[in-house]
Amino acid sequence: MDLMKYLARKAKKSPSTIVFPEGEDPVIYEAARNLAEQGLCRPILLRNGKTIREETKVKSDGRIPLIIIDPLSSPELERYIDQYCEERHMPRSVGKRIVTQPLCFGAMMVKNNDAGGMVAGIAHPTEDVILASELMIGFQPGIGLASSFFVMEAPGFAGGENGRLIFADPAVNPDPNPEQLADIAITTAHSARDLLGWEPRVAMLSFSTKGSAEHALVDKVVKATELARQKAPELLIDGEMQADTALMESVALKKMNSESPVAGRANILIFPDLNAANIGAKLVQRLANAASYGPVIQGFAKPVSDLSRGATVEDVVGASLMVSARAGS
Amino acid sequence: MDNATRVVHEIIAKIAKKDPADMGADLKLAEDLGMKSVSRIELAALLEDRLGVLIDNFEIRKPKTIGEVVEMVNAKL
Repeated sequence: MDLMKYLARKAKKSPSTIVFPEGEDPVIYEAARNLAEQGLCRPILLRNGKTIREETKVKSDGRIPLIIIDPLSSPELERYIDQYCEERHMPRSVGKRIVTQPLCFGAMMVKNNDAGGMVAGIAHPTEDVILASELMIGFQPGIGLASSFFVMEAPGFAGGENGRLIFADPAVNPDPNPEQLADIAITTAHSARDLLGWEPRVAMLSFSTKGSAEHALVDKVVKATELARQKAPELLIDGEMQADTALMESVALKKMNSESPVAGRANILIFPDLNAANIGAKLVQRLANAASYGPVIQGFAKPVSDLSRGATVEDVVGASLMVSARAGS
Repeated sequence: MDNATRVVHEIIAKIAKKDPADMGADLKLAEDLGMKSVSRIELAALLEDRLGVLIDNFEIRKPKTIGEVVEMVNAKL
């Protein structure tokens, strides 16, 4: 079953509430209506005007209203402003300026469990979505940065997790230091568990396998692996290793000089930097005709998805299903 | 020191949790003052609140130093 069908089935069992801060955008509106009509989530659109409940057509047994909220007339606005000003030690006038921004208001809804997750970015740059989420929602405990991942499905590939792999971080951090790379590994493992129900097996990729080469770039991955294991000893994380060692048991047997629960059967590949992750993902997409889903933003205490400015209705529905799956976990 | 410069120094000192007297034009917001990107949203809102200048969340990411923030504010006053 393809990933979207799997996520749709999961979402339908227990639809999450998802806030869309760019509710004025026609693509967002159409996607939200689709999601509601199919009973896949409870969409809340933010836009100027009256707060209303718009009944959707019944296309399934799950009739879900489409809720449209104007942040400026929302009954929750004053509470959100008070909360923000108290936590950030800001004057009320500043709190109002910030919280009434749609991305910040949406993130406050998520922080307060008035929504399970947020989908945004069709009318804002990625950095705006990340900044609003960082400011209002904050990071997962022990995690100090936002990062991203792709889910890859390459036809004919039987390794990973039933042919699927997760690549991180292909979109956010250009040159993470060892601490940041360790955080990316841990966050990605948590995302794999929440989104797909996997038991994560995380390979920290390099051009060296267990000391086969000496270089500062190898040292960075070795250090990141140590830090990730210290911070999350319950996770299966191993490295440094080359991509073939991570994916193929026959190669792992030859190259690894110790037993590894990850080598040869990794389902998560952590690349050493953005160059490697982004180039690697694009090559797999084009050369192996792989489907890729994402990039999905991760690291926040609650799920947030960033959309491309050119996202289609189908893209928005897909991103919403990914947020919904993590919100419901 | 003119009023706009003084207010910019006060606001940045508040966000960076430093003494306003230690602020200077050449100080870098990230490297010298440890200001995170996320603080820029609050910087823009505080500048609007105190000086009435409208700076959006994209523009406010551009200045690297306190002096460049002052320049941006003066250009809008």
